[in-house]
Amino acid sequence: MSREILVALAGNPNVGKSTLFNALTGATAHVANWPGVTVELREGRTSHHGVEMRIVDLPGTYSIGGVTEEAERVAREFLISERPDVVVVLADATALERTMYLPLMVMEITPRVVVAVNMMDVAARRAIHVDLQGISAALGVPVVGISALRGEGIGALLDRVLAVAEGREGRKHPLRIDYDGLEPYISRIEKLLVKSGWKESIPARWAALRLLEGDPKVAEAAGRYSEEVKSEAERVRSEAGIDLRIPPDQVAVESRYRYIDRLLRGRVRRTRLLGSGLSEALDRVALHPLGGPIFSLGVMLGTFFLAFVANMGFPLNLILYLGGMPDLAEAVEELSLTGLLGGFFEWLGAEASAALSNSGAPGWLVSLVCDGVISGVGAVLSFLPLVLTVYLLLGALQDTGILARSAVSLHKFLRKFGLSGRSVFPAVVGFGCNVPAVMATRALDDDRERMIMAMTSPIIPCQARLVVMLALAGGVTRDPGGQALVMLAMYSLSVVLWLAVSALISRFMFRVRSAPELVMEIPPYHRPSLKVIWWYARTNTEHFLTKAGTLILGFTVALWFLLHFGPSGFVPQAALESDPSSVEGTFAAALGKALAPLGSLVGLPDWRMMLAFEAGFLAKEAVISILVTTTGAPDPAGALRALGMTPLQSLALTVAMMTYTPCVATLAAIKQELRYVKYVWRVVAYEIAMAILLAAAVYWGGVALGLS
Amino acid sequence: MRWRRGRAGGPPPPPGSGNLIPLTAVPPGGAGVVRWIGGGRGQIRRIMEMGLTPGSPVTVVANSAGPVVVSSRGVTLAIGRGLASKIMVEVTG
Repeated sequence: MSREILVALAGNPNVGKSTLFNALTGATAHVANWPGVTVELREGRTSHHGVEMRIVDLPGTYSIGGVTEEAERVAREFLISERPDVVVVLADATALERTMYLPLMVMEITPRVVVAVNMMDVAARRAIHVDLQGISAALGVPVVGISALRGEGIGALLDRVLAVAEGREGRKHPLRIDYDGLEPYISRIEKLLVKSGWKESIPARWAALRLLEGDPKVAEAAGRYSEEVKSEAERVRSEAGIDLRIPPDQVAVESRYRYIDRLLRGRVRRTRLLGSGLSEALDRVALHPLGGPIFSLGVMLGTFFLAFVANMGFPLNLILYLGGMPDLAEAVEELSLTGLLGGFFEWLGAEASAALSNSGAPGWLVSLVCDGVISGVGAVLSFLPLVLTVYLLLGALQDTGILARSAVSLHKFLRKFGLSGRSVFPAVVGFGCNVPAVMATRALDDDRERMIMAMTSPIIPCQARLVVMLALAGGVTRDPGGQALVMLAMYSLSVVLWLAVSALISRFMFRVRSAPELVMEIPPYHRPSLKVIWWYARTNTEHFLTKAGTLILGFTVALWFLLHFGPSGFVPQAALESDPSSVEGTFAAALGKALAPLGSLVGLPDWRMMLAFEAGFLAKEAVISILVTTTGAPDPAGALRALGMTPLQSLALTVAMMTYTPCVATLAAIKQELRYVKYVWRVVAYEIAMAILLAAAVYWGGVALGLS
Repeated sequence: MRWRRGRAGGPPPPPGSGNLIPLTAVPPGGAGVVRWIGGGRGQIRRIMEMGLTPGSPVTVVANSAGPVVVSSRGVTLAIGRGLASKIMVEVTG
C-alpha cells in the first residue's frame, strides 16, 4: 500500500536547511506554487519504508512571529493553512541556545514536530556535547542528531518522521510555554475565544498569544467569530502593555529564551572554548574598518575576473592584446565557453537549415526553426556557463562566510544611500544576472530596503550587458587600452547610479529619515564544501533557465516574426543577409522608425538603433545580432561603422544601452517580488528617463566640447 | 522581582546606574551582560529574536567604525551602530 505524507522543513538561515533538503530530495526537487501562501516554494519527494513523502522547503527564518517579514509570514501561513503531517525543524548543534527558538515556536502551533539537530559532526570537533535524549524527553518530541552535509542520521530522522506521522511518537498537544507575567492575559483571551466557539486549525492558546502579540491575521480570524472578542482582546493587549510596562510580544520572546535556558541547562556541555586562530586572524582583516571594505572589494573583483575569463576570455584577452600577444588573446576568446557554444549553435543552425530545405519545408518554417528557435535557444544556452560559473563562485563566497563579512564591512558605506550591508548579496548577484538579484532581495529584513533594492538592482550591469558593452566599446575606440577604459567607466557609472537612485528613492519616494539598521548573524568560517556550492549553483541556474529561458525563447520567436514579416509578407533571411535594405519592409523597421525621433534627442537618429533597443528590451544580448543583421556587417564594430557612427555617438549608444529599461525577464521578477505592476512601470520609466538624460548629456556635452 | 535580569524598551536607565555603558563603548574583547535594549518595537523584537535578550552575556568581537560585532549564545551577530548604542551592558570583564 502506498500513501503520501506532507513534510515541511523549517529552520534558521545558516543551519544547513538547503543541504538537508537536497540530501532528502535529490533530483526530484522543483519549485511549486502554493496558493495558500501566494508564493513559490521548493519541494521534492523521497520515500522511506514504502511511504511516499512530499517535502516542502520553507523559507529560512529566525522566528515565525513577524508580522511584516515576508519569509516569516510565508512559513507561518504554510504551517497553518497546509497543515503538514510532520514539521521537521532544524537546529544547530553548535548554537542550540539560539537555534532552539524556532522549534519552540513551531511546537506551539503543532505537536507533530521532529527536531533535527544539525552539524553534530562540527559540534563534536569543537568539543560540544549535546544530550539529545534529555532534550527529547523534556520536549516530548523526537530529537535526532544529524549531519546533513555528510548524510549522517538521515535514515534515523526519516524513521522518526514516520513514527510521528503515524502517531506512534511525539506529543498529543502543542507545547505549552510558561509566559510568566503574560499568563493571566493569555488565559483571559483564550477563554473568550473558546466561548465564542473557536474552531480554527490553530490552538486557541496560541491564537490568544498571537492576539496579545498583535497579529492582525489572527485578530481578523477572531473578528469572524465575534467583533466583541476581537475588540476585547485588543483591550486586554493594551492593558497588559500598561501593567507590565513592556509590550507583550517582548515578554513572550524573553519567556521563550528563558524556557530554552532551562531546557538546555546541563544538557549542553562545552569542554573547550571557541576561538580557532585562523578565523580570528581572518576576522581581524575582514572586519577591520579600512581593511574590511578593501578585502571585500578585492575578493569580489577577483571572483568576477575569474568568472568572466572562463566564460568569454574577457578581460584576459584585452590584457594579452595590450601585452602585444594578439594570437594568444584570440585563442583565449575562442576557447572561452561562450565562444565554443556560439560556434556550436552556428553549426547546428546551418545543418538544420540544410536538412529542412532538402525535405521540402516552406521557407518561413526553415527560417523559424533556424533563425528563430535555434538561435533563441542558443542565446539562452550560451549564457548558461556564465551564469553557472558566477553562481559557483558566489556559492563559495557565501558558503565560506566571506560574503557575510562583506555585508558587515560595507554596511557603514551603504547606509549613506538608504541601504544596509545586507544589500551586498543581491547587488553582487546582479553582476551575474538581474533576475536572481531581484529574487534575492526577498531575504532583506527591512521592507523598504527590499523594495528599493528590487527597483534599483537592475541598474547593475548583468553579464548580457557586458557582452553588449564589449561589442560597442569597439565602436568607441580601436585601441584595446581605450576599450578597457570605456568598460571600467561604464561599470563605475553603473555602481554610482545604483547608489544614487537608491538614495533618491529612499529619500523622496519612501521619505525614509533614517537608513535601515543592521542585525545579522555572521556564520562561522566554513571550509567550502563542493557539494553545497554545487547545490546552490544548480538551484539558481535552474531558476534562471526556467524563468529567463522560457521568456527569452518566447520573445526571440516574437522578434523573429517582427524581423521576418512585414505588411507584404515573409522576408527570408537570405534576402536580409544579401541586401540589408530589405529589412525596411518588416514590422520591426516600422516600429524602429516610429521611435527614431526619440533617438535624435540623444544623437542617435538611425531607426536601426531604435530597433536594437527594442530587441534589448527582450534580451540584452540580442542588441548585437540586430545591429549585425540589419547592416549586413560581419561584426559589431563593422555594424557601427556601417551605421556611420562616430566614436562620440558610439559612446552615447553605449551609455544608453547600459542604463535603459531592464529586460522583460527582470521586470517579471520585479512584478513577482513587489506584487504590483505600478512598481514595474516606475522602474521602466525612471530607467528610460535616466538613459535619455545620460546619453544626451554625453552626446551634446561632447558636441559642445568639439568632439565627434 | 521579575525584571532584575534587565529590561527591553521603556526609558533608558538613568546615567550612572550600576556600571552600565552602551554596547558601542565596549572595546573589542570586552565582555558584559545585556541590561537594557532600547529602540523601536520592531527593532527590539528583532534583536531579541536573534538571541540577544536582557540578561544575555555578550563578548565584543569587533567594534570600530562599522557595525558592532558581538558573540552571544554561541552565535556571532553584527549590530548596526545606531541600534548598538541603544543596548546598555553591565561590563564584567
